[in-house]
Amino acid sequence: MNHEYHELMENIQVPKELEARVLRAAWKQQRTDTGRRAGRHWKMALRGAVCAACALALVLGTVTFRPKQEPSDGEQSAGVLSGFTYAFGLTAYAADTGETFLPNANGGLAILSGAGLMDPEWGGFTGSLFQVNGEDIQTVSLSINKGGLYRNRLHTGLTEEERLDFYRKMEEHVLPPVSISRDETGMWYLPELEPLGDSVTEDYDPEAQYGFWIPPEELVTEDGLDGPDYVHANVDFFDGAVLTVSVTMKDGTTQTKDYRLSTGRLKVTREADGSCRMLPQLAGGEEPYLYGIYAADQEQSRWFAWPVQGSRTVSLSNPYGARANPGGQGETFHTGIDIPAPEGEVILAAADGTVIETGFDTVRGNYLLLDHGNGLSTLYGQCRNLTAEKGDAVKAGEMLGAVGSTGMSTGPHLHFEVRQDEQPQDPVAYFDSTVRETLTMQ
Amino acid sequence: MTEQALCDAMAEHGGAVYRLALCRMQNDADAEDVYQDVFLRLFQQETETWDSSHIHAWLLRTALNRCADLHRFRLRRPVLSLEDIPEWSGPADDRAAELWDAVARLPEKLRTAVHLHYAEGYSTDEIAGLLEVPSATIRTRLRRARIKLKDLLGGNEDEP
Repeated sequence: MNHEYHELMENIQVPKELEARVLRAAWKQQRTDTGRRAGRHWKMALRGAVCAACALALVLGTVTFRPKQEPSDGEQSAGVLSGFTYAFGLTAYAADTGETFLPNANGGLAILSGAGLMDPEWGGFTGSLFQVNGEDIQTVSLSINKGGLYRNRLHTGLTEEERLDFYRKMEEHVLPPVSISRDETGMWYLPELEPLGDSVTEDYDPEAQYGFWIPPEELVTEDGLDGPDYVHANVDFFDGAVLTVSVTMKDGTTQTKDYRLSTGRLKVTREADGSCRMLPQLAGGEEPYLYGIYAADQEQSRWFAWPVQGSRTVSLSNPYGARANPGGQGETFHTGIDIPAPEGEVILAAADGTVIETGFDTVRGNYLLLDHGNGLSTLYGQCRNLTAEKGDAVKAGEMLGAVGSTGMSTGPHLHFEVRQDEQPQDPVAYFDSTVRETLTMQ
Repeated sequence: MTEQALCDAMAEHGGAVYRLALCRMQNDADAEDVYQDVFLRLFQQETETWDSSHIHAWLLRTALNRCADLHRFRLRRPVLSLEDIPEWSGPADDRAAELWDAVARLPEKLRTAVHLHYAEGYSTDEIAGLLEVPSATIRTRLRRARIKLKDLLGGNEDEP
């Protein structure tokens, strides 16, 4: 009986929403306390409750660094070394687990808002961090057209004296008041936050972590906003901003990249070991998410038009990526997304291109492959019929066929696939925020 | 306590607090309220010098006190059946449901002792410390609980 009762109780889990509810309540309580007792000011470190429930990944962004094969102008070709220009970009990394977040093939990077700080005196430190990454970089210049940037220095393994010293500096208002936390091994750590203004130029340090900073006068401090909403409202400040990253190489050449930022509920998946992985796609209504900033390389990114008229739904039951087979035997990699739509709904070309293949197979049904140049192609499957033919040049938004259910399928939908150099990519990353915001996942 | 510490504490001890509250309250909404209240109280504490077992014991004791407060307003206590617990993730099993029901019907003092001893693995001495009663009392409660359970479960087992 004793063992049985133990097992019985082990099967009872804490309700999913409860932790977030307590964090929100704690957050509110702390805000009221802070108003009353200025002495507790330094404890006011805020972060989205949902973030916190996800083991507080401090995520740094890293974006792609594929060498460009075709130098486009004099400035860039000066950096050519054996046929390649030096490449640089930004990279994602979770400070607590050491995990790196790879950018998608479309040059997009999800930058999580992790352990941040919203403080009326110091401004908003969104916790959305990134690093500049590349070879032979001499100096780095960063600038942003809205708000500012800050430097994040993680101090780990603090001694008791160091910890007390940081507390003192926070109380003396020398340092922004962040929370000093302990990791699983009992080591104390804290992020030191330093506002940099709207631009900074300095010697390259591959370890340097930069974040997005909101000046105090721009900070949203309305009362009545709940914990996460408050963080989101402030993170949203960067929606539409442009981050310009310029690097000077050791040979004196310079390169510049512009990243357009968008913000939103980015989908996360929980791995078997309990860690979270953030995906560069928006979460559906019920899905776990983290609120973060999504940076897209303006030059490199290629945006698609939505390929189905009359449906803005992405099927949740069969999303892009690996999923366990029903019945638990092995797993299948779904190379695209399914867009459910009524039979006969019009399928549109996602971008300008040439039809290079049409055909039928039992799995994908009637399908069409469209080539967009530079190794990028899209595939449209499960079509009832196709109206474009092999060799046709089509424009974005032109009709290709009609939605059907002609292959291995349980209902009419478009199977939409994006490939870069023959490799399937997550299609959602190829729609910009104006399209992503209109999507629902069901 | 920092928010980080609160998160850590919920991850580490949340299950134990919730299960104890559920066992005592026999109502999931009440259990959630107790859970929230207990962790908010923890959040107010200066816990820098507390180790994990200190926090655990503090949480369980506070949970029991909160349960007792709430209980005053519920003179007639309904029994929650296992299938009504939304967070129950185990197999549908008559034996488990019967056991849950039997424990639920135990008088409060016996139930608390049974829960702490069997579900949380506390020794009689530890339970005695937590409830501030003599160890012998706890041993008596456990013994009486075992006899009652045997009775409630049909008495068809040699070792309840």
